[in-house]
Amino acid sequence: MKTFTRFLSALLIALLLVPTALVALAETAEPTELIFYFLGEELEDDKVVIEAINEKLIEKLNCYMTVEYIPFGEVNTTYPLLFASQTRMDAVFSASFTGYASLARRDAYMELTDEMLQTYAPLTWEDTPDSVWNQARVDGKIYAIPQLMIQNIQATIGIRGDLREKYDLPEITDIESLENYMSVISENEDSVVPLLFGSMWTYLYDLLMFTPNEWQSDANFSQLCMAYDITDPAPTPFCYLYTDEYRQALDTVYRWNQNGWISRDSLSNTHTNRENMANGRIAVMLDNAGTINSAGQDLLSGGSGAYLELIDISGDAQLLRYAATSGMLSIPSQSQHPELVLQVVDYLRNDKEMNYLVERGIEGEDAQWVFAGELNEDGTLNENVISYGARSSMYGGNWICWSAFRNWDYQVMESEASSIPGYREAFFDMDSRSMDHIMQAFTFDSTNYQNELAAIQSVYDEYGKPLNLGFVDPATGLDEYIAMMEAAGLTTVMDAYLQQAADYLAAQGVSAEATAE
Amino acid sequence: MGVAKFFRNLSYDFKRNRALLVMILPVVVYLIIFSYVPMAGAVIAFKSYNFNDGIFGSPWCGLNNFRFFFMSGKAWQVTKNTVLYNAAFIVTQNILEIAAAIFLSEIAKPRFKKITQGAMFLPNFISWVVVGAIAYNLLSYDFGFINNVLTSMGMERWDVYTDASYWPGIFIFLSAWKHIGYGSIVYLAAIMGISSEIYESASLDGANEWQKIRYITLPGIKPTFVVLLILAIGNIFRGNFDMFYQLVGTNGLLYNATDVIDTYVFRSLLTTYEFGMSTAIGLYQSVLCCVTLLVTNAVIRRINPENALY
Repeated sequence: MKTFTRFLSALLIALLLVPTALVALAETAEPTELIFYFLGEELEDDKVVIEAINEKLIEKLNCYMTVEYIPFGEVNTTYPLLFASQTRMDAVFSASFTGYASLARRDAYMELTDEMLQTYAPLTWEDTPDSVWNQARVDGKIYAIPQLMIQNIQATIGIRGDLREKYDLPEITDIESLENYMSVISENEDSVVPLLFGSMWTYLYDLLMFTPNEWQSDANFSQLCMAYDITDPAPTPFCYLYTDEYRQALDTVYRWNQNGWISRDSLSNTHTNRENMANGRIAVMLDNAGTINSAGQDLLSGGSGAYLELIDISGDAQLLRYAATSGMLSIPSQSQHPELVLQVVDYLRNDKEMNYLVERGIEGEDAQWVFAGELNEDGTLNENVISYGARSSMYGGNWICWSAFRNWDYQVMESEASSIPGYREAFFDMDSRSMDHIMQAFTFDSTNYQNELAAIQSVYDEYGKPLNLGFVDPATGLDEYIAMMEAAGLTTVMDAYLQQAADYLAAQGVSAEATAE
Repeated sequence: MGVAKFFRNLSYDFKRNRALLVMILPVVVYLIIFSYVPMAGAVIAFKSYNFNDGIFGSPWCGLNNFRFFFMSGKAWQVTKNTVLYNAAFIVTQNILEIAAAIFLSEIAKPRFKKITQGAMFLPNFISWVVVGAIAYNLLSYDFGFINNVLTSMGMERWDVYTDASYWPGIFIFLSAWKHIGYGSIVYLAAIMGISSEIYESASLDGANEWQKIRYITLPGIKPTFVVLLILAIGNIFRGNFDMFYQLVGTNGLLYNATDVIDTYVFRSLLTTYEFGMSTAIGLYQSVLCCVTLLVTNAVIRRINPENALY
């Protein structure tokens, strides 16, 4: 009887263990699915490229990516709801413009500890400078892997070169010659306006105020109008609304608007500069060099004889590099495979072959890209200068490749043939004047000021934008704007902002007072 | 005794109206799932929401989420705009819908009637995004169709996007244009429900078409009108977000005349991810709508109990 009981117990245990063992076996055999969320729309060749990536991922890490897309138009609505609804996500695109710091403070993202990064993404941890990691820190903690990207997004000027030639105008070298150009266009061209702004109106102040004065604004809280001096290693931020420089810039813009150089449609236009240029509506665009180059390519391919010239009038001004927080990858708190995601990022970001695949697509004339054949100074092939293949527009338009997979060692550079006059020179010149700044890693903790921020945002939209685009006379409009901002709580938030900035600098071992001495 | 009687009556009602109750069951279930259960989520309005603790676990914050709405001094302005626009829509659309329904009912030729009705119904299927794009292409200062025509005739351009005074008219027109076709169907159905014998007797008594409309059709559709009116007033504090946002967008010069509660809240909270604050304003609208609905119904019950909803 005893033996029988033992036998029965052993049998039961065995029976219980078999399925567990089978499941364990199955688990090791079956590749793990990782769900990645990126911004943008799915393009025709996305599946083909991701399939090629997945083949390698299964081989190396026994996992594969399933990519889901959040359309650009839904970034502000769908994106936060993915977290609120506990949707299954293993990795998600994050950036300052998707509310990175705000969501991190609400526990939407998992903290990536130094140990996790060192263990599961060792190459990324090593190759990413501290100044870049620091930009991704919120209250000292890292919640995303930032991109490594050489780019400057300061405002440059793109003008229709064919119109300049038509009216025999001199080259644009400064604001004065730009004004002369706009004046001639406005008087003589019926179907074209010099400038038409949409959401990209901030480039106007980049050109007239921030870059010439070597200031940087806080892009995370643009409604607060806070800025700092980038030449100061430990600057005290200030609200530019109260500065003479802002008043002067407003006067200039008001004059441009009253002269008819800024379209009356600028408050309602939803098209980008690039679209408006391609549609022949504008003669001047203020945008970053990369976008102006793309717009220039559009014009050339249109075959109408119109072409763009790119001018950078920032002279020797000190510049800041494109923020690393503009394209990152975070792991949502609910992710079940954070370690595996880090391994995937490490592999795709640092392995040359994989990086080419994820960032450029498939190589080949009839696919996405080929080497352009340009040589380095030592005579070797410059692998980062590429030409586009027949299907280049079928991959890369969404932000799979605009995130943490970006690695500046393999960063693509347009070939001579696909660069408009002035683009390459501006690109290298601006990069040579660029640096990271300690304040890029400062993030204002707005938790206790959400009411004020919402009220200030409303005033910024209602009073700020029309004033900034020259629809309101600054002689009266500026004081009214400031009064409304203060009524909405600007002073309270500003005080808190300055205190936090001072505390942050002190914690970094520098302080404004010490530097001033 | 009272309780026993109540249950006896209830059971009698169930037995007597079994078929009707089964028919209404899906709607009741739908309402419970999609309207009553989610109401519990309204607690977010009083909470400082975070993703880890979720709706019910997040800490309470009292009335803090309501503060921003009243801080910028815009609460009264946008609430007033919302109510006035809705009142204007209710008045103009009901008049036009009733008129359209009467005209449609008077059209004798079925083919022409169908074509007319189809043409009126079409705008209902065009989304506000498309209407917004069409409006921009028509009204744009530098590139709009209307301004191109005006300038080609040597006239001044029409500066619609920087002058708020045009917009109440534009909204009332577009809202009517979009909704008349759909709204008139309800009235048309009510008119079809009026017995033709009444019209025949009126004709025998020598009534002309106008008199028949005045004394038979209009009183006949009055109950429908009252029900639709009460339902519309019940939503008077909710702005048509799609319409206002797609047509005005982020044009600050027009906000004084065009900002409604929904667009204001959307804009203010777009970048803050404060679910608590947006829920707080949703709750503010719901409470005001509920109060208005109860008051309207009570007023109508006092005037004419037969027309009241309950």
